[in-house]
Order: sequence, then C-alpha cells, then structure tokens
Amino acid sequence: MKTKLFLFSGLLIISLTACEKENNNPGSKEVVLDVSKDLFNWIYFSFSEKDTVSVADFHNDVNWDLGIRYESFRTNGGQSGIGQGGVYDLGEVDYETVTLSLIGSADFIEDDSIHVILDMKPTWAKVPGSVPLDDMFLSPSGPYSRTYDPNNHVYIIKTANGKHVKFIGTSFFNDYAEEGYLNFKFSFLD
Amino acid sequence: MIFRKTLTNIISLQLVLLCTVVEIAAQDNNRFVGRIIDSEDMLPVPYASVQVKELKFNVLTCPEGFFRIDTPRMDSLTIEISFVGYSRKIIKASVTNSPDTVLIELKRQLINMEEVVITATRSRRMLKDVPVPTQIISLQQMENTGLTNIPDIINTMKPGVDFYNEGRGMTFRMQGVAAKYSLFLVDGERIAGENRDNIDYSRLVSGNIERVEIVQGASSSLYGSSAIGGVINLITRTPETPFESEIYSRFSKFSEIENGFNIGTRREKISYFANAVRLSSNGYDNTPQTSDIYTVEPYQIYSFFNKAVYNPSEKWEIDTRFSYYSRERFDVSTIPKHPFYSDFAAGIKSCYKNSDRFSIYTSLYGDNYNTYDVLERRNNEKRKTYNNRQLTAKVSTDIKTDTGCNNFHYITAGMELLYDEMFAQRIQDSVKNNTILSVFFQDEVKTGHHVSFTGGARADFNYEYGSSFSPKASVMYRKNSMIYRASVATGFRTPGIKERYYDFDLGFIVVKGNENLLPEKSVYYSIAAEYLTGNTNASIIGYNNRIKDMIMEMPIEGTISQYTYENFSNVNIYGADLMLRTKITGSFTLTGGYSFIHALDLETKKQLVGTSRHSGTFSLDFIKRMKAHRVGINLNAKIYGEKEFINMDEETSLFFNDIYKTYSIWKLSVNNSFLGNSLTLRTGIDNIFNYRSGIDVISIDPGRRYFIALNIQCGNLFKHLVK
Repeated sequence: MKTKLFLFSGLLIISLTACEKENNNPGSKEVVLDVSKDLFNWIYFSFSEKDTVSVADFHNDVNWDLGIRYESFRTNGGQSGIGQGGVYDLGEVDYETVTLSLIGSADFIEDDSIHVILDMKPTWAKVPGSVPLDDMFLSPSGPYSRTYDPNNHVYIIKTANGKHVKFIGTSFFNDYAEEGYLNFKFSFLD
Repeated sequence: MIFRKTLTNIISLQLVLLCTVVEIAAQDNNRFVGRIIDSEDMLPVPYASVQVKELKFNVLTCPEGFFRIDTPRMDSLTIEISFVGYSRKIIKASVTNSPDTVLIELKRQLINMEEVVITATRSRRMLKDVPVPTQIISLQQMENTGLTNIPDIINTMKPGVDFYNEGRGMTFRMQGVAAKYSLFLVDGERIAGENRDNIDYSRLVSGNIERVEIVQGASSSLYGSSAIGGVINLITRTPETPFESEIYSRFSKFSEIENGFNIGTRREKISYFANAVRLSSNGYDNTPQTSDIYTVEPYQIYSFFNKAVYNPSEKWEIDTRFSYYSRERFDVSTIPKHPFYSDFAAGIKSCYKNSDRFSIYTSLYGDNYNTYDVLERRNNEKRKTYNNRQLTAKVSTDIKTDTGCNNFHYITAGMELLYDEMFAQRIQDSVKNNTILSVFFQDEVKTGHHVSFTGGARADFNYEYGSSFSPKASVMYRKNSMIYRASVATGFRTPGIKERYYDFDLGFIVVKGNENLLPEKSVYYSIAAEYLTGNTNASIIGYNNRIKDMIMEMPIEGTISQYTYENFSNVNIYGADLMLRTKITGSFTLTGGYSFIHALDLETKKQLVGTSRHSGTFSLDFIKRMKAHRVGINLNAKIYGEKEFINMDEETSLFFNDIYKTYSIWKLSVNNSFLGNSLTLRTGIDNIFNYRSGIDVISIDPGRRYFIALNIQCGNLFKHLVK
C-alpha cells in the first residue's frame, strides 16, 4: 500500500493555475499543476483544454479527463465517471517513441477504488480512482522520505470521449523544490 | 644576574641554532655535549627540553637530538630532560673540555601524567592534578586506530559515550543522556549550528586535532548551559618544530576518499599551523527497498583550519585563528534540491602570564553556521534555510597563591558574554536571539602533598530566563599512584530556541514550541578511584545524575498528531565506568572499558529510550619501533548493549518502541612507517565481522570495508633523502 503520510507542505500557496510550456516534441505539452492544497480535494484536468476545469458532479460530467487529488488520480471511466476513460501502463519506455500502434489491442484498465486519506487523524477511505496511476510517484513511509520519485512509466490515458493521450509524470516539485506541484507531460496520439 | 642572563642567552642561541655548531665550538669553556635517544629504537629525540637546574634555563635538542652546554665556571650540572611521551630524566653531568658526546636514553611512557589538560578546570593543570577525572585520547592513539573521523575515534575509545544513528542523522549519548545535554568544544569554544539537537559532526576533522579531552558529569559551574552529561573538548594541534609538513590520503569502500595536508612552523616568537582537507564519498544504501533514499548520501566536504600564535614577549601570547568548512550532500532522489552546509569561524585570544602565579586570558570568538537548499532547477541557486551565529567574549584569570605550610590556592575566575542568534524557516518570525552574561569562580585549595578541595560556582544571567546558579565541590586525595576523587556538581540546560519557538507544520504532524519552558536542572554525584603510573591507568567511577524537568516532545492534549515541548520528565541515572589502559609488554598495550548505565525515567519507570545498560570497548595495540621503520597494529571493538529505540510501522506509519539487540563493531588497522618514519602506509578493515543492521536505525554501518592510507611527513622525507 502506498503510504500517503507527510504529504502536505503547505508552504507556498498559489492559485490553482496550470503552467504550461511547449515541448520539443510537436503536440507534446508540459504542465506544472499546483496541487499543494489539494490533499483532500479533487481537481479536474481536461487534456483538450490543457487546463483545469470546473466540475460539480464528477461522476456525471464528461468535460474532464484526469482527476487529481494530491498524488492520487482518476480517469473518466469505470467507477469514476460515465466517460470512456481508462489507463494502459506501458512501463518504463521512451516517451518520445510511443505511438498509437504500440497499443494494439491492449486492455485499458478502468477505474476501480483506491485508498485516500480523509483527514489528519488519519482516516483512510476507499474512493473511485485509477489503480495503475496510484503508483506514479513513489513515496516511501517515514518523515524524512517524502521524495515522490516518479516511476518513469509512460501511461496511455483514454480521455472521456475515447481519445488516446500518452502521459508521463515527471516530478512532484516546483523549481523551488516545494512539494505538491504535479509536473507531467502529455500529447494526443490520435 | 646580568651575567647569568647573558650566559643563558648565549648558550640558548648556540644550542637552538644548528647541530654543526657543536663541532666547531670554542675549546676554552668547560662543556657538556649530549645526545638524547629513544631507549627502544635508538633514534634521536628532537626538540626535547633540556633544563640546567643550576643555571635555571632551558634549551631544546636539535633535530638530531644533540645539545651542548658551555659554561666557564661550573664542573658539574644537574640536567633534567623531558619530552612529551617520555619519562622525565635527571642526570648529574660532569662538565669538562672533553669533546665526547654522552648518549642519554629516554624511556617511552604510555601515559604522560604531566600532560597539561585544560577542560577539567578551565586552566592549565597536569593530568594527575585535576580534581575531576579527565580522559585523553592522544594523537598517537588516534593515528594507530587508522580512523580519521572524530566520532568514530571517541566511540572506539570510550565506553559510555555512544555515537549512533537516530532518524537520518548521527547523535550520541554520554553517561546515558542525549547529545543536547553535553557540550562539544573546540579549544574551549562552543560550536554553532545544530540539527535535531546535534552539532554538525562532519565539522570535526581529525587532521587538525592533537588530542581529545573528555570530562564526564555535570560541568555547568565552569561551562554553563548544556554541560549536564559532560564536556568533550577537542584541542587543536600546535607545531613542535621549525618546519612540519604532512600530506595524507585515505581510500575506502564506496569511494570514500580523504585527502589533506598539514603545514606548521614553530619559531621563537611565532608559530603557525594550517590544515586543509577534502573528504568525499559516493554514499551507500543499506535498504535497497527504498531506492530513492540512501542510508548515507554522496557528499563532499572541504575544511580549512589555521591558527597563528605570536609571542610579543616571554609573558604574552596572542593566538589568532580562522576556519572554513563546507559540506554538500547530494540527494539521490528526484527532489530538485540538495543541502549545502557551511561554517566560518574566527577568533583571537590573548594570554598574559606574569609568572607561574598569575595569568590573564581574554578572547573573542565568532562562529557562523549556515544551511542552504541548492535549487537544482534554478541553476543551483542557494537558498538559506538556517543560520546560527554565536559571538563569545571571555575574560578569565588564574591565580596561584602560597599560604605557607605547603598550602596553595589555585583560583580561576572570569566572565563570559555569549550572543546567540538563529534564523530558521521553521521558527516563529524566522529570527530569534539570546544574550547570556556569565561569571564564574573556582578555588582549588591544596593542603599538604596529598589533599585538595575544590569549590566553585557559576552564575548565568540569561536575557530570556533570568539567572541560573551552578555550584560544585570536589575533594581529591592523592598518594603515590592512587588518586581518589569525590564530587558533587550541578548542571543546567536552558531550553533551546527551537524548543521555545518551533513552528513546524507538515499537515500531518504539527510541532509547536513552548515559550513557557523552564530550564532543565541536574545534580551530579561521583566517586572515583584511579591508579595512575607511566604505564598503567586504571579507574573506576560511580555516579548518580538526577535531572529535573527534562524537556520532551509531547502530544498536545485534545489534538491529533500535534506536539509541543514540555518539562515532562525527571530522570535518575546510576552508572559506573571502568577503564584500563596498560602496557602489557614493551610492544603491547591493552585498553578496555565497561560502562553500566541505569537511566530511569521517573515518569515511565523505564530505561531511557536510546540508552544501553551495558557497553564496552576493547583495544589492543602492538607497536614495534626499529631503526629503519616502525610497525603498528591496532585491533579494537565497541560493544553496544541492547537498547530501546523508536521505530515506525511501515504499514500504519505509527511510531512504537522497539528493541535493538546487542551488537559489536570490530576494526583492524596495520601501519608501517619507513624511510626514517617519514612515510606511513596504513591499511585495515572496518567492521571485520560484517555486521549489518538491515534497517537504517541505530547502526548504519554498511558492513565490512577495507581501507588504505598513506601519510608523508615531507620535512622528514626530505632530510632522509638528503642523508
């Protein structure tokens, strides 16, 4: 079980805006998302909008593709949503060389349930979420172990409307090394 | 009188200059020519002190061990020869006009009873005369172990002082109490900067240390706050000869490399010593299951220390020094930062010694310690995260008075002003400071030849806490080789800035400081018997340390995972230390010790967490000196008894008390000095039996490591090659 203690630095509070920069790979986007305040809240990201979107009822909304709760994730499918979302884990491969043809007839894993903490006691609960994406950042237990090293896996994420996006989490820190800043790279494959 | 002075000056000048002067001296005077040699290896003893009793003057032997005394009016002289590490020798010499050189053999001593120590009394006293037991780790002992890390050296030599890992950093316990209750000093000066109640031990580089003095038990009557468990004072090197130069290098597993050099000179009016060292390691990981965290991360250390001592006159000495230290620890995780530590310290001291009866010392010393985050994504920009600066001004005096009938008073008195300022991101308002003014007084009354009484006290006026008063009293009885000591002393520790103003909020864990904390106080009773001769030192010390109002991190009532500091606990520690150091034969020396500590937390009725009830040390040295070379072998062990520690459940992340079983670390070092002892090749094994813990607590030893080291005494090598 991934330990989710000692997650919240809360040192620098910036508004929820995604910082986006163009990547050398045409169509590839690099995003830094401030989730430092979102230990208990879900925020939602749309790959087509390249930004966070407002969602009132995540289960019945198809305008989001990726839900983020600090270092937990959900896609818009299975238990999490009514969309066509799902995840295929390619493992540690070269992100740049991943194309749609690599996927073949792979089975995408729809969302099931994952453990998250509800409060500081801590109280744990099972909520809808993506199991494969739960291991994207390694955070071994211990007060001095909040390293959040990315597992360097490339994931194919199916969006709510069934498009394919290659996705890799690259860091959980901002340039000032403050934790709670989700760095990821994505590009549409179709 | 004038004649005697003139004569003394002439003789001194002649003798100190060059050995060749001996051969071409005028033949008119009566003379005595001698050469001091080591009784074991028959090698000359350079710079030994030769005192002519009748003329009351001193000269030093030249590098080849020769000395000569010319006197126009005396037929015989009483000559006293002394040198550190050798038995003092007195001879009656006939002074003739014969050119024959008299060979004088000096016997090596294992223990130099006349070695001057400072820590026990804050004044220069001979080891055999100090009122509280003082343990010394000499340069030769340090060198023979092959170790270069001061905590490792102390660990190996001293039972009851245990360095070990706690969390992700090193800490130590002395006589059962944690690091924050003991003082680490360098030449009597406090060391700035702390991390989880510990100084940065990487700053303690053995290359510039001549000896370590350890005084266990409360010493607040001399040193003020934190001297509850004891004082460890590192004495820096002082050159002995006109030119000293040394290059050294050590290589061990995990690319642990140490390269350094020493350079020094001692002239009539000035001496200078400098040490520069670079240490680095690739680090290691005892727990591969957590691949993003190393047990010891790669690091790089640079350290530079230098001091210059100037004697404007025979009575006055001025010591100036500065040092720089930096350590960069390279984080193996993907967190885009790593820590960088630096320190700059500088000081000036003056000692005016009017006679053997009166000295006055003044000093000003500043130490500035910083911690930075190196932001890797911002072009390695450094962001300061912690700063501690301390400025200390001291004035003290030593007075010796003779009240007749072999009764003497040795009085030490003085005052100190300490300004302490801390910046940390995790304290309220980020910056806090404190000022402490202290006065102290100690009178050692020596009655007759055997008994001395010492009484003293120190008053500290703390800007934050008002005043603290710390008295002490001791008695010493010495007859022949036996020394008996008994003492009662008080100690105290004012709450640290962190304990008062900490503001740490990880979300899941919150730790807040408590401005209402009271100082922790202790009373320390000890009784000791010591057998001290040139070749054996055996001692037994029994003690009781009662500490009141110990500060602990406690949960805040009615909250979850929120903690604060409180004066929570009282502790009663009973203990005994046994030490033995003896020369078994001419070449073998045995050193061993055992420490028993019963440290009872009066709240929990249990042994203090982290404190072993039993621990021990063992060291066997073999040293054989021959004309051409010298061989040294050291086998040592530290045995750590079972102790409790705080562990964390990997699944629930909850802390719980666990037991760490008894274990021992054995080390072997073999060295061979050749080319006139100018080259020393050293090799050995750390952790011979490959003990590994498997978890990164208490012991973080990575298992068996081989090492090789080379030490080149450049001056000696040059002389040897020229010969």
